Amino acid sequence: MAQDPTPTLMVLIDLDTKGGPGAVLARLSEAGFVTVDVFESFGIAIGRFDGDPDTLLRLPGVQTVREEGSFTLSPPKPDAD
Amino acid sequence: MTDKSFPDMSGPSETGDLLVLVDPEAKATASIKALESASGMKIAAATDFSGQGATAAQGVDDADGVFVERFGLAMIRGRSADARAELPGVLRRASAVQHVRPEYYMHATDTVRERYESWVRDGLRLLADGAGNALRADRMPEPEIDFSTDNVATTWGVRAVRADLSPYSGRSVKIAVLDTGFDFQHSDFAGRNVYGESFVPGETAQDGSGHGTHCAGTAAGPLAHDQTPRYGVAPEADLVILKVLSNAGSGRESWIIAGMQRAIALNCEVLSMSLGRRVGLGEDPDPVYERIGQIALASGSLIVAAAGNDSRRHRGIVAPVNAPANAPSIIAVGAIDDRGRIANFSNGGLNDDGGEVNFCAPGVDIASAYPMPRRYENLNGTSMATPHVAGVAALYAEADPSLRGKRLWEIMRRRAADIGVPIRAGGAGLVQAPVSFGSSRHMA
Repeated sequence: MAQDPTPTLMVLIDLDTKGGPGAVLARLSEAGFVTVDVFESFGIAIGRFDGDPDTLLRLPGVQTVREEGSFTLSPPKPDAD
Repeated sequence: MTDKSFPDMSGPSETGDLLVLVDPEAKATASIKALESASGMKIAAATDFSGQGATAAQGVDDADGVFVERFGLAMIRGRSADARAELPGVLRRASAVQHVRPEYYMHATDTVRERYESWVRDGLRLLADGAGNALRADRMPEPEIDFSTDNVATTWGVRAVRADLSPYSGRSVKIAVLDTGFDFQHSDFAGRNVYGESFVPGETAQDGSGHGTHCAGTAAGPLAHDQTPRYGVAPEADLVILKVLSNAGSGRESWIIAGMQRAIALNCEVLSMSLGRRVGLGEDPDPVYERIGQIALASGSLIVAAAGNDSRRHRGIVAPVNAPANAPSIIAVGAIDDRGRIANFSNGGLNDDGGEVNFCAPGVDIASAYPMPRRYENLNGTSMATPHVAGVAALYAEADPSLRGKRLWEIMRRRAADIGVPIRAGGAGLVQAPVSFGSSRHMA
């Protein structure tokens, strides 16, 4: 299976930023961030970006940028039971 | 200990003293004796001085070291350069000693050291001030806990949290279980109001793993029937099944956040999240989940999450509380066994700023629902402890409709039972269901 070269990023948006989260999303879009999902009530945008994530971090209203991860069940290993 | 003023940033980083972690399950007297025997030094127990104000500082200063039982931690003076060179090796050979290292001054650029030292110092300060432990202060008298094994009426877990003695059942309270889904054909839940939704692309909310069904069963399984013990803590709560983990047991964060958003939008009073991601020692809580946790609390939703199963306590290895449980506004749950001991695998409160364990609950040999045709299964993990806490939260939420969000968390803290599990393993203690409030509808 081909590897997707572009990681999915999670962007945390300052909910109190001037113009609201919508303005931040517009700035992200102008910078080349392709939004896949937005959780408006949480101020979280998930999307793809080809460039340096620090570029996004410098945009007004952007608080954190990191790659999307995953969560698991991770039950105890047998020797830890 | 010695008076150490905060140093210049250019000064040496080691204070000259040593920090020694011992097995938290070992008795304090035995640990002190072992340390004294190995080092030839006099070690004072910090608990000896609680409530004695200035006397405490004097008593500590007279000793070569101080042992803080609640943390399983000793701080030992390195009185000379020679002693400082030899002591670590000597102490490591003492029984029950798990870790020995120099004590460091705090530097803003070294978050691991900074947190570790502040954790130690805050703990010592509390004890020396006679303030005790704020986590376990202002609480109800400790109840009798029934740790006997499963019987025909109830599982040991239901009895340990005293849900079987509670007049409440979670009626009209919504518990969202964010997991691998649920077996909607399970015979024990016939006729129950169970809402289901999947955020996993290509998979329905039907549980293809078993983990989600087990967790949902512990939170809100039915009362005893057909010779089957009661395994559900809140048997009349409304289950909101939000599938955020695939049948293989993993899920992208975007699925999980979508599930959390849905649970809050549905006004679920409690979110039970038996999932996680490992974090490193000194790692900051993720601001994403802290944001969500704060919004949830403000919306009247309490998020309960598993501390994680990465420890090997019998080998002296304790891993820090997982994300998202390490967010300050999310409850982190550790696991105990049916003798009231911390589970070997249960992660500990090594990081601060939310990295603490908040409660412990039954998490070893837990019987609950499992997808048909097997119907029931016994599982281990902080995953199993988490829905015990979620179920107890639902009982309180039913008992007093004003108890939501942070107020709900607070009353659970005040009514948790101190069963002797160290705070960094079990937080405020074993959660306890509301039992004897008479006709009162306002408990906080």
